[in-house]
Amino acid sequence: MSGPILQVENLRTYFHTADGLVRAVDGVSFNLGRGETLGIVGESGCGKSITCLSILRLVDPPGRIEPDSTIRLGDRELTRLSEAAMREVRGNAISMIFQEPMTSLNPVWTIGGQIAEAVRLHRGVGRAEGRERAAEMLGLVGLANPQRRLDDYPHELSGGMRQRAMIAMALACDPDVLLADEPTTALDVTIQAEILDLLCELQERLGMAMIFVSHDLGVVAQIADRVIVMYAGQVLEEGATEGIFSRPRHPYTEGLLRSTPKLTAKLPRLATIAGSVPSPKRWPAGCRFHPRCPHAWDRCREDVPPLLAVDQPSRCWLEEEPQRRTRRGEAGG
Amino acid sequence: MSVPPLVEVSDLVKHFPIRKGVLGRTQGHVRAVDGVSLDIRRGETVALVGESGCGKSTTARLILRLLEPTAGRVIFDGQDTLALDRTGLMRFRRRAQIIFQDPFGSLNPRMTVGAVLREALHVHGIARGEAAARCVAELLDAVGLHADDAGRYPHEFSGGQRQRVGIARALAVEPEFIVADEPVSALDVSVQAQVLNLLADLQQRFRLTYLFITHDLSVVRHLADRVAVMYLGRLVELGDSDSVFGDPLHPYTRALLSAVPVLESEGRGQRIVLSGDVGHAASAPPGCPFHPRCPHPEKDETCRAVVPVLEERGGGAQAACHRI
Amino acid sequence: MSASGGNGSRKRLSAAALLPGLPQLLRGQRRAGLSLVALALSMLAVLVFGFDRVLATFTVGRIDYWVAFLTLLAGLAAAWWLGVSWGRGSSEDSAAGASQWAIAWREFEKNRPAMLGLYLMVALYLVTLLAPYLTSYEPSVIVDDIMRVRHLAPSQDHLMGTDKYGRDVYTRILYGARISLSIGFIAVGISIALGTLVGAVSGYFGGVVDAVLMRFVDTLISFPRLVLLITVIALFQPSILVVVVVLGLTLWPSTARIVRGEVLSLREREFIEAARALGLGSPRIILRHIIPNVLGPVIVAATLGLGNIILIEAGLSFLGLSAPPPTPSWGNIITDGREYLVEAWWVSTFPGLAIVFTVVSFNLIGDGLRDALDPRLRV
Ligand SMILES: Nc1ncnc2c1ncn2[C@@H]1O[C@H](COP(=O)(O)OP(=O)(O)OP(=O)(O)O)[C@@H](O)[C@H]1O
Ligand SMILES: Nc1ncnc2c1ncn2[C@@H]1O[C@H](COP(=O)(O)OP(=O)(O)OP(=O)(O)O)[C@@H](O)[C@H]1O
Ligand SMILES: [Mg+2]
Ligand SMILES: [Mg+2]
Repeated sequence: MSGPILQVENLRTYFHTADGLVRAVDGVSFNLGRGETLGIVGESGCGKSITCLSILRLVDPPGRIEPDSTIRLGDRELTRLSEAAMREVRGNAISMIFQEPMTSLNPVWTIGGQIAEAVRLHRGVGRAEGRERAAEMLGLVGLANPQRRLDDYPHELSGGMRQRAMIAMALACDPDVLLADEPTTALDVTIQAEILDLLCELQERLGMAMIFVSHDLGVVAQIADRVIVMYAGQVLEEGATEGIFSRPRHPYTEGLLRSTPKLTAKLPRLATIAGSVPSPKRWPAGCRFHPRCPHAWDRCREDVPPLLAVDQPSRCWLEEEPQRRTRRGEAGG
Repeated sequence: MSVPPLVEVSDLVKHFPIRKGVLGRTQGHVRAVDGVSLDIRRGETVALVGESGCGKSTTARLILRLLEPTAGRVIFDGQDTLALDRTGLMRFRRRAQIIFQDPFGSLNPRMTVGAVLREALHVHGIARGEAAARCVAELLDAVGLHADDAGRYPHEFSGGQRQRVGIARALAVEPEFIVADEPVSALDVSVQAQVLNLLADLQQRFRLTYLFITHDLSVVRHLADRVAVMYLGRLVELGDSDSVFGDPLHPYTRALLSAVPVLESEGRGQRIVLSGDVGHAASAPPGCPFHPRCPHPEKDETCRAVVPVLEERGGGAQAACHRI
Repeated sequence: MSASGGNGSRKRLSAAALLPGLPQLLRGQRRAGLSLVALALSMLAVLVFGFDRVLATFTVGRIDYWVAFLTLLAGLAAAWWLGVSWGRGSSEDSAAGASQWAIAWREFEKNRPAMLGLYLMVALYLVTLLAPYLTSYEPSVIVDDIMRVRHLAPSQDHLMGTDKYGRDVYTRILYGARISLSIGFIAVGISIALGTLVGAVSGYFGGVVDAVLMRFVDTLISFPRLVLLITVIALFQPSILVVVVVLGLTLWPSTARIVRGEVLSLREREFIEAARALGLGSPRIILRHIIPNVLGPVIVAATLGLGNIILIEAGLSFLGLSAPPPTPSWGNIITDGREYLVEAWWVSTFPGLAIVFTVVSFNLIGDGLRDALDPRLRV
């Protein structure tokens, strides 16, 4: 690997709303290598989608990417690009797939038209060529009879087919980076499996890097090479998929894993994480997870832990004082 | 098996007319539920699983008589629910309750939590005034909320807390049977675990019987005694949880199980990818509803022409397939 | 707040006694303070400048004088009572247990045009109720010496001039407001009550009930309203009562439409199904679960309808189909002036302006309410 293709450093995206500052993304850093799949997991509202939208600079006011956030794509600094240059990046170097396939396709255009439009815009090719490319892409994502499908309207496709069309559109311009924001959440398990297979295969074939967002740990375990775990606008833990899921270091990651029901065994009770996700207007002081953490001690309430340890960094003071780990935490909720 | 089941569903059918045009002429039917038979025993948890649109919610509403079936019968504790008169229906409503999926849509935004619960108590004459206030406090306590939460409005709660309020409302009338229609699908992992534990605790405490609807098989594994797998309005497999998960009979169940994303790398078999789309209930194919997508190597003319029935396959498992 | 103790509260009491709104102003609650000051000062002004007319209440003994007298008392009492109690320890506890309505009010308060509309409306109704104290003329009495007082231009004596019978236009507008505004209120009340009920029933039950009710509504809506009004009024004697009832009865179909649309989507919500599963009967579900949830759009329709009705009434009086002369209503004051638009422009202009003011303020309020009651528009 020749260095990361996308480097995000200290990304902070705040919403300056009428009743308070919402620190939706608050100092997120990560690298994405060429051809790599990075999974982002975390509970609702932890900032996963806003992170993706920030990378494309698509956050609407009152949301704003704060100064000193850096997003580097290759050697370009995206936060400093003009809006026109940014448009050139979107859908071309970086594209995005959204969660809800119905709302992100324009219902009054044929899918072929929508894909061709994207190609013509970024590649400057003619009408016929755009159409040809569109058909090729629809074939690539496994729609039978792509030439005929070109003239279908979104509502004529089923959920799974729509999501395939979305993927075809996102991939039409050979992006270097694909942002997939919960692309399978709205789909049934069998179709989800199909789409995940498709994404894996396409990624291998096209060699692009992918950020895959989901709150479903199983899905991420299946598709990602590396995973970051987000909580309250921050990265709490980062590491190889294998490591995160078999040897989680952060108590939050542990809690998440334990509270996920398993297919293999029937347990009498699920472990839970006490308390609930804090409001983004008032993140707790110190470690943001401390009010729910079974191990928390004074230091956690006062000092913000940095990402500690190198191979699988975890934002937790336990890294420095492992003897503080309590039994209670082991036993679970 | 000498004890009669609490709920006996036999050959339940619900067809929704498809209306088109200005005159609203009927242009065919959505066969949302197409001949479902199912017994639910006292104290057990039966899970009903299947893909979106296969008719799970419709079945639930039919069982609770929130919808009138096109055909079929539901016997609740020896009584035909369709034959109930007004007072009989009120008594039935008190014994069978429902918990909904959407924690935002299932509470009236203009009523405080206390008012919601008091209303349930009031309608059935369970408690009034001072006694009602005490009941509300107990209910909130039972689902892990505070007594002073009674004065708050739904929008002041988080999704998981709202779901608890929904559960408290169902519990208010002291039911024996609860249908939970995807009660945790909208919740985060950590909240989901809390709610699932709560449901399990309440079952023990109040000796409840659950019909648990979901599309998440790991959740089913966690809490179901028996599993019913539904496809396009029909049950295709029904059996003990252990047997369905350990040794699935129907090709659809196998595909469904293999498609569940799991954390553990071990124990994951080869994924069976189903080609084609989940069919639609308005245009179910003749023969076995699953045959267009069925990966079974030996599917043949019989599958295309004859509807398989749910049959005993030994070991307490039933499946509807010609090829087992 | 607790720190200031008894001493502080005594100070506040005396400040409030001196002038309601002072304590609020001192605490920095500008809006509350200024409105109280305005209320208190205007009531005092009426009392001082119209003192002989206030006294006349007891000798004349007419009902409108008594209404004005009670309004004055109520206004003074409200000013001083609110001056003491308003705004104490409010801002803190509002966040936690805020109801939908409290939240809506907070949103409404932030909306400047809507608040302006609200102040205008309050002022308008106060003026209407206090009418006898605000003028020294009678609205419908024609003096003997018509030619001398006819069509006098606006002056110190006649703020808005006089009409062709020498009646004071300002006085007639004041008294006319009662008719125009109360017609609005009553007709809207009728139309809201009927419309909400029909709409809710129609939307909730659906099917045949819905089809029948909605076809009926369609028929009523498609009938030109003015023609209908003229026909009905022509059948009876034109009188205020007939106009009110007919207006109310012709306006409800549009409310019913709005409500039905809302109910159709509400009916699919799970909380309605939960209520059914609990065994609640239909009347109870409609009253307790459906109607509170459609009140938002209904209130908006009502405020917009108020403006509309005042305009329609004006139109009807213009055609001579409303309150028979000499009873003043804004519409027939305009009618009186229409032949003399050039020589005596003031006769028609001032009631016209009054209508514009009223309609604009109602529409501002309606817009503000719509925004405040729509959670999607909340930041
Ligand atoms: N326009 C906005 N104004 C104010 N706050 C916002 C806005 N958009 C998002 N937020 C806040 O930013 C936070 C992060 O939102 P984001 O959409 O990234 O969450 P997420 O991790 O994608 O969650 P989910 O799993 O529910 O999609 C949330 O707490 C949300 O409330
Ligand atoms: N009132 C109705 N009128 C017409 N068709 C309906 C109605 N209710 C449900 N259907 C149709 O019946 C079928 C079954 O719907 P149902 O809601 O029972 O599915 P489900 O299994 O609960 O799906 P999900 O997992 O998405 O909730 C669907 O095809 C649906 O479109
Ligand atoms: Mg998101
Ligand atoms: Mg459903």
